[in-house]
Amino acid sequence: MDKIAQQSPINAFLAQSEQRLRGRISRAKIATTLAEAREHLTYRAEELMESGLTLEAAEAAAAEAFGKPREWAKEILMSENYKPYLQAANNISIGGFTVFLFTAPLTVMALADFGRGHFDTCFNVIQITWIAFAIAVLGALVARRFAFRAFAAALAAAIVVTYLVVGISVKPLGKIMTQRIQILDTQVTLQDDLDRLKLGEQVYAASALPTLVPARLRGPLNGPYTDKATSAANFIADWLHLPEADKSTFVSPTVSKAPPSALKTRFGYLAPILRSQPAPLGVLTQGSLQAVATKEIAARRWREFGDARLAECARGLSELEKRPINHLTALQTLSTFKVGNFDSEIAKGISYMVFYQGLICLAFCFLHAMLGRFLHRAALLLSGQMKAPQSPLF
Amino acid sequence: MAFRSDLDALVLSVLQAESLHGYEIAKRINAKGETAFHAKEGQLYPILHRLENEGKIQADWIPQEGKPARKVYRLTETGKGELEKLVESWREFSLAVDSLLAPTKPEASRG
Repeated sequence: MDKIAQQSPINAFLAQSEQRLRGRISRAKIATTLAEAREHLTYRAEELMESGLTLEAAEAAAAEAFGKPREWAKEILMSENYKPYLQAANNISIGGFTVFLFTAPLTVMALADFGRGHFDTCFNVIQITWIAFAIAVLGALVARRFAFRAFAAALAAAIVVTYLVVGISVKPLGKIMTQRIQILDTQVTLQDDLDRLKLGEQVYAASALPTLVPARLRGPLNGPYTDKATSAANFIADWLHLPEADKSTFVSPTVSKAPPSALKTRFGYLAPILRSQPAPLGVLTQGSLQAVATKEIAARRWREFGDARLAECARGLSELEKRPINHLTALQTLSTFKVGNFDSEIAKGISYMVFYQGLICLAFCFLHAMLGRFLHRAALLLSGQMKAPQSPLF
Repeated sequence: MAFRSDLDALVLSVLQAESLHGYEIAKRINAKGETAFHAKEGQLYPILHRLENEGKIQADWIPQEGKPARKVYRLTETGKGELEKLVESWREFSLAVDSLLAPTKPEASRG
């Protein structure tokens, strides 16, 4: 400030104007604009000196007649942003930000539904919010020609919004991802169990046991199921004597074609139990095939095994509900999550969803901006400012 | 006091005859008695930049001996068309105002 005060009035004006313009328009544009202003001020000061003023007084008068640096810089910035595409970018940015403001509170409500398993709605709302925010930031950057200050401001805003949204959503997202990993582990474990049970069934086939092995146990192993996970889940559901309504919540013959959230939902709460308590067939056979040679022993052990699994499931469900998931554990989960764990179908589904929603959101932002412009013009018309009277020059 | 469309018209009309630099444009306008830029001469430059962005005028940098290059503005075809519209609009407005302000004969008393 002192440095500016020591300068000549013209230089002080130009320095203050440069401060206002720096980072908002390109350096080349600032240089040419200030050069033009300097020329004007110098000519004006020379004229005033010819009329008898001292150099300093003439420069001061010229600078004063030119206007205040702050207002002048503001008008220059406005004139630079007047290009149609910059104006359109600005309008779209405003529209995007408005959509973001509308959807951000909905995101918080949608996140609350995570715990109740309403993943589709939640993901849609979050995506629309993010896309609207991205459009707002991108539009603002284009409208300001990616000037440094605008870029820094956009970056700061993105960090703040990311922190807020992630801060809110990390807990439920962490839970989902934890479950997802557990499901993947469980699928492997279930297959092991099935292989062992198959082996056990073959062994018992040689004895009198097959007549006691319930049909529901054999069915899933030989049935026309689409994949191993469904087969395993069906098997467990039958085993636990689940009612049809409950069974349908985690067993689906079309699981491999289902949307990502369906996979997470249907296998979500069963997965950790099966992973942590695989209950291999060794428990059933106690390591000895000879031990189940009689019908009575075999039947009892099958029942004991079923009861034990049922108890494990109940315990696991209770454990999962009480399991504390905080930011730290969620981050730990995220850090161990591998990209390869995502199904290609899931990735494809998400990509399409983001793309289409992005297009819809962009169109919505544009329409919103146009509506805002229309309302603004209507307000001007109503207030009688649309056609200002013109000057008596001609 | 002047409005934005007035200032556009003033600038375009001054550039109609020849190409000029910013200070000269301000001087010409002031010489005609228009006080638009007397309060804030700097107001001219945002207008020039906007008109340039809109394609109504075009700027060229003319090198000068011993001095920095000077930015000189000239009217484009778009600018000429815009000026014609503004002039026509002003004439209509002026005629309307003149007809309203013209002294009218008092109506004859009906006795």
